[in-house]
Order: sequence, then structure tokens, then C-alpha cells
Amino acid sequence: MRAFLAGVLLAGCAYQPSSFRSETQFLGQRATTGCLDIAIERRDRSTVGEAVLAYSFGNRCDRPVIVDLASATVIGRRTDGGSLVLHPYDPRREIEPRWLDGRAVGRETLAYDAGVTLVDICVDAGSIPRAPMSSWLCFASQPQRPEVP
Amino acid sequence: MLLSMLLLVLPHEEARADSVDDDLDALTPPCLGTDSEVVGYRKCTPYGAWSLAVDERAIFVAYGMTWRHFGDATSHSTARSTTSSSSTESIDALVFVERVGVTLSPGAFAAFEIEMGNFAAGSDAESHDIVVGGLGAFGLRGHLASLTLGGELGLGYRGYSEPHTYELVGELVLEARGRAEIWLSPWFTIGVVAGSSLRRHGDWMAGISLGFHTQSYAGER
Repeated sequence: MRAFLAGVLLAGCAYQPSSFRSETQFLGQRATTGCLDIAIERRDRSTVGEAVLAYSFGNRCDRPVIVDLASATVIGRRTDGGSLVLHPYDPRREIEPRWLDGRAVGRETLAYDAGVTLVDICVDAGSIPRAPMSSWLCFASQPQRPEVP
Repeated sequence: MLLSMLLLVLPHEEARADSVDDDLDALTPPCLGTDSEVVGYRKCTPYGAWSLAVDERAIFVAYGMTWRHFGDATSHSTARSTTSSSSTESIDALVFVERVGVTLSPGAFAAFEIEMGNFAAGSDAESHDIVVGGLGAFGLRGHLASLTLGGELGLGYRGYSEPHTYELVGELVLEARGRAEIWLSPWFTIGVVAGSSLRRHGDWMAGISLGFHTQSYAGER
């Protein structure tokens, strides 16, 4: 029943390749890799102290495509110039590779806690659909808003 | 009123700061005041809700209207009409059809449908005639751009009652059909169907339908 309702709601709302536009807003930097159009926006939250990335993706193809945010390559660069691999905050172990239906769209917002201040974060958008080619998008740190006392 | 709302919201805000605490989670009203969209903090929408349709088998639901022609109307004596092109008496019926099906593998599907209607001739406001049926079908189909062509074999049961009686007369139905559908979107089709009975000479059907699919292009591309 849920699948049927989803199908009814999706009827007539097919994602148009390269449009980066649907009922889901595609904010941030954009990349096209394999069957996926991906937009990523950095939205650090001062109250949490983590790097937050908002992913929007649309399937350019008629067939399903894998979206693997669990093992997407995300690199953070520290103020001392060193770098570290970042993993998403996932206390419920719910982030896993999922299939995105043909011409469908999706959106997820993930938090990455590096434990240190990061100058910038780079994401290999090509690793999200497990494409053979890398497609790096980098995001500088955002100015932190002062905490409200 | 305002105070009670605050009391409901405040405990939740505290729990959100430590979302791994199962005890606090159990006391927190689910979804109330959850404005976070970050995985691990949000509570209302699970991760991957956008992939729901692909996790399940591709299902389709279709609604349509079918015109049925019965070449030999001897079993429907009071509802019959005579066609000018044939020496045998025939009768027509208009039925509404609901059809639910599933993709078994790429290119193969199974479906079950029910139909209900009445005879086109011999009916009036006082009539009780009805045509009802249930049928299971297995078919094969292929895609050509936005067009899907397929054939199917259906087996089921159809019952009739005549205009001024309540008696239901039934029979086994075995039909061969051809279908053509146009994809208006990856999840929405409009189609036509035509078929013929394999048991009764001269019985044929033709109809139109609207289809909704849980996976794009029936999960076959």
C-alpha cells in the first residue's frame, strides 16, 4: 500500500536530467556522475559543532541507480594542513547503500564529527553512485554564528 | 494551553541533544517538534525514504473500462439484441475493471483483475442485470521507447444476471489479449487492450485503462 501511494504521488514528477530541479531543492555545488545529478551544500551547525552536508540527488536514467552515502569518500582538512577521512554520524546504523528509482530524486543531510576544526571538506561525488571516475567537490568552512547565551 | 505545549516540547529538546539515549527516546513523543533534518537527529523520516519503491517488487494498479461483445447470447435471452451483421444474436456489456499486477522478472508479469458492469442493451432503471468477473493473467511485454507492447493469457470466472432476474449464471473464462501502453511519465501509463475468448467463438473485448506503477517503467529498464 505504501508503495502504491508512493507511486501515485510520483506519477508525473519525473526528474529531468541536468535540470537540478524538482520538488526537492538542489542547493550547493553540483556534479554529474554516472546516472546521478548531485548537489551538495555545507551547512555546519554551530549548536552541534559538526560539519553538516546536505545531499540532493536525481536519477538521470530510467533504471535504478545505487546511492551509497555510507561509503562516500569525504575528506576533511585540519588547520595544521593534515587531512582525515570523515564518516557520517549514524547512531542508529541506518545509513546504508540504497537504490534510487529511475528518474526519481532524493535528499539526505548527514553530519560529520571530526573532533577538530576543519578548514574545508571535500567530497568525491563519484563515489556516491560508485562511479569509476572521481568528481571532487570542496567546501570551505562557514563562519560560525555566535551562540545565544 | 501554551504551558502544556511547552511541557511537551521541552523534554523532547533535551532528548535530541543525546539521541543515543534509548531511555530518553522512549519518553520522547515521536516527531513532535523535530525540526532537524540531519540523519541521527531526526526522528520522523527514516534514512532512505526516497528509495522505498525500489526496495519492493514492482507493482502496478490499473483502472479501466472494457467493452465486451458476446457473440452468442443464447444464455442471455432477455438482454440480447440482434446485430445486423450476423445471423446469430449477440449482446454487449460495458464493465469497469480494476487490475493489480506485479513484475515477475523483466518482461514477464502476473495480474489479477475484477470487473463489474452491466449489459449495454435491455437495461433500464428497473433492471437488475449485472456482469461480474475475476480473472488472473500471465503475460509478456517489451518496451520500445515510450511504448510498451505485450500479450497475456487470462483465466477466470464471469457471472451474469439478466435484467429482470437476480439469478447469476457463471462460466469459465479463458482469454488471449494484446496490450499497448504509452508511458506518460515513468510511473504513469495510459493503455488500450483487445482480446478474444478462447472458449466461446465470437466473444471479444476492447478497452482503455490508466495505470500507476510503483517503480519507474515497471522496473524493467
